[in-house]
Amino acid sequence: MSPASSSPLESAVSRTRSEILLAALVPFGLVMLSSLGAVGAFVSSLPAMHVSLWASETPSAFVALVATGVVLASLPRTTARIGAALALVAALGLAFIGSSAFRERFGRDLFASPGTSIPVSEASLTRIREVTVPGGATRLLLSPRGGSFAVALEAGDNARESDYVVETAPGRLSSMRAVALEFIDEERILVLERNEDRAMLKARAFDRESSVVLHDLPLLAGVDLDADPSGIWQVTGYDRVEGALLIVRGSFDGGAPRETRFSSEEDGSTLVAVSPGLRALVARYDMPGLPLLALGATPRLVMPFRSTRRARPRRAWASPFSRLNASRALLWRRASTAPRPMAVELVFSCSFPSPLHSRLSASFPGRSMETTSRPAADSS
Amino acid sequence: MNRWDDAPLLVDLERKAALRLRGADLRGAILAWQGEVLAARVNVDGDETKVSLYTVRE
Repeated sequence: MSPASSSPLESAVSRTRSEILLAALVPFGLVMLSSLGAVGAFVSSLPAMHVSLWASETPSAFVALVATGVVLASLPRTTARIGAALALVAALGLAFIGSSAFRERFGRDLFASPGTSIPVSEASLTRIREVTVPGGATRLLLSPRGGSFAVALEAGDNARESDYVVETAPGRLSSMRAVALEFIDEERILVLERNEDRAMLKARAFDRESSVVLHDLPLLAGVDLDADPSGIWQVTGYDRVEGALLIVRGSFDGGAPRETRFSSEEDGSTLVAVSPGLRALVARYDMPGLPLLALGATPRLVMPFRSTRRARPRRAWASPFSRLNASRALLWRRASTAPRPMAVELVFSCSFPSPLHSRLSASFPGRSMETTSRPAADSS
Repeated sequence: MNRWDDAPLLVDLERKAALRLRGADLRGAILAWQGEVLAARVNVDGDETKVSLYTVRE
């Protein structure tokens, strides 16, 4: 029997069935969407993150599904209307997967490596004293036992030296000009002073009456000083002329300082080199869009610099990762005892609503690289 | 994720412990931490800097 010759009753029954099917399909699809939470128990959080990023950064897929649904809904056939309902459900599912709520629930940091969670406890602060320093300060230094502090005052962009204000005794301030400064102990500071086109490293007592010249070295970019309680000093910086990260390490007791250079021209992908004797870390990351990011790290310095080697050809395809760029690199340490733990954090900028973090931590001296430890608060 | 305006968190990787600081408004401050002493630097109107030193007690 042809549809044209079917009775009005049969036609009405057929229409009712399709409407019931359609009416059931949409709620069923929504129920399936709501059950995606259970999928998270079976799927690793990293693939979930990848899928979510793809969904959020491919709006064309959502638009295509909606357009397909609209076209199918305009057709008179029941199967087309069912297809339209399925397309609508798929579009809603894609929108949910691409949402930040999905990533927060099922995804995880793309760059975090497995590590133990760090418990967070409360700590109370009691103010000891407050000191007003004239001028804006850019850096804050604290002596090993916290008895004195120093601040670097704001300097021009091209300034090789900064004016430092050092609290030599509670409430007593002293000014000095230096390329860099670091506390040795509660009575002495390590000062790098400019001497024409060179730099001079000195150990100076707070009272300035005595200073010892420790080393003569070239002017470095991103220079940083370190003084170890065991009597070791270290200077780190980037030698633009040589194109290398320079680390000079010596002893307050004398002896020839030891210089080590890590060339930024070396080739390598995802190479992490640790020099245990120098407590230095050089990490190179081969990242999309940034041919080579190298981080030279001492207990306090992380200096990203790009290789001058020729960039790779652009990839024909794009992935969420291709939009990542390292926007800044930070380093923390607690400098009270040796070996000093350190952590490197790379903060990436991308279209992801919140920054993605990557951390490496290492204890020096030593060859071991620890896996990332994330504060428990990070996951809240 | 720690809220940007939440109390600062000191992370001690050596002890694998983190301390959430209470008792002072340190939002926007640059911190330096040595043992039980914490220094906080806050610029005031760009031409003056206040440095506060605190003891940290768990």
